[in-house]
Amino acid sequence: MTLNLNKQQQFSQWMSEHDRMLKHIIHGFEAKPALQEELYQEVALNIWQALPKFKGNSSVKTFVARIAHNILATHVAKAVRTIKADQDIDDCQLVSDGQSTPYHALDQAQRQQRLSSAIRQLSFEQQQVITLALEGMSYQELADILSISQNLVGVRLNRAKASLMKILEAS
Amino acid sequence: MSEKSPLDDNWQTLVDDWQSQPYQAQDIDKLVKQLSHRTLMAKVILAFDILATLFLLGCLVYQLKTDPDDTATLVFLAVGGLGSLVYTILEFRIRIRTWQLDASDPQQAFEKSISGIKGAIHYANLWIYTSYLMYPLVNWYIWELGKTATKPILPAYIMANALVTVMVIGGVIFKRRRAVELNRMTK
Repeated sequence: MTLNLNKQQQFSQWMSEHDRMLKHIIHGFEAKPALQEELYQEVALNIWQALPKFKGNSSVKTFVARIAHNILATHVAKAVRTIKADQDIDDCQLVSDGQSTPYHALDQAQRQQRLSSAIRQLSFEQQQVITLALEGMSYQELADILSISQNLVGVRLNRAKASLMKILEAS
Repeated sequence: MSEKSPLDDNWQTLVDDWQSQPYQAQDIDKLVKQLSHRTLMAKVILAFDILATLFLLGCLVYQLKTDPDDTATLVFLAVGGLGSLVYTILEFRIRIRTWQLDASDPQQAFEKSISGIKGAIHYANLWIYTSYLMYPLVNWYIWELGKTATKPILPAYIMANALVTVMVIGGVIFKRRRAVELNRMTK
């Protein structure tokens, strides 16, 4: 009973600290609010289940982010059509909003919407590095979360930035 | 080693925009309750399946002792008990395996998801094959009961066969959806 209470307390602490990061990351991959909520629940459940196995080899932040990205990877693999449909919807909305305005000329809410939409149009690997980099994570942290080398993080991030720039400029 | 991207100059703006995105803060206490409940329900369902299987097998033993001549009921209980046993063992193995997998490892996270889908497909197969078996079983059972029935048994035939057909269709649709998911994941 004591063990379970400690687990609950630890889980609550982890989720409180990283709630914003998780919500942002999920938002970068999935446009539909209902699916975002479902994904959040799925990520939370897997954090709950994995918590006893956490040995402190990495920071809690990278541990939580790694689980989130692994769950998102399975979601992307299962649900390719959903994301593509969302891209079409977002593109239509952008066109109807008269999106010839440069990014910096928009107000913050519009920039945030365009940024999220642009990120969802990237390839999965690029989405992964960009969302984590935007959260302020270091190359080392990205490498830990994505189980790749720091060199590869650099290569992917630069490509992701270039692709993102193209999409933001094109819209 | 890294080239400077045109985006680097504007990167801080993007970071500020990204990190200041509004979000609805999660009610963590509610989340903990939901997850505890979900985990508990999964275990309760498994326990219930085990108890249901034991109950069916218990009924079979009781029927054998008290009325061994009631062949129809004996066969029904035997098939039901056996089917329940197979399903429970399958479910147990899949659930235990899935619970042991760790989503912090990318390979295991994928395996966990695939395991869940495969489990659902196995369950659908069991459901469909059991439903096919139900056709002769149910019709024979009604025919046996009809020998001593005072009311027409045609409505019973229609209802029973319609129910089994719905079970088959439901199983097939469920299986197809899971198969599509599995196919996407293993590509």
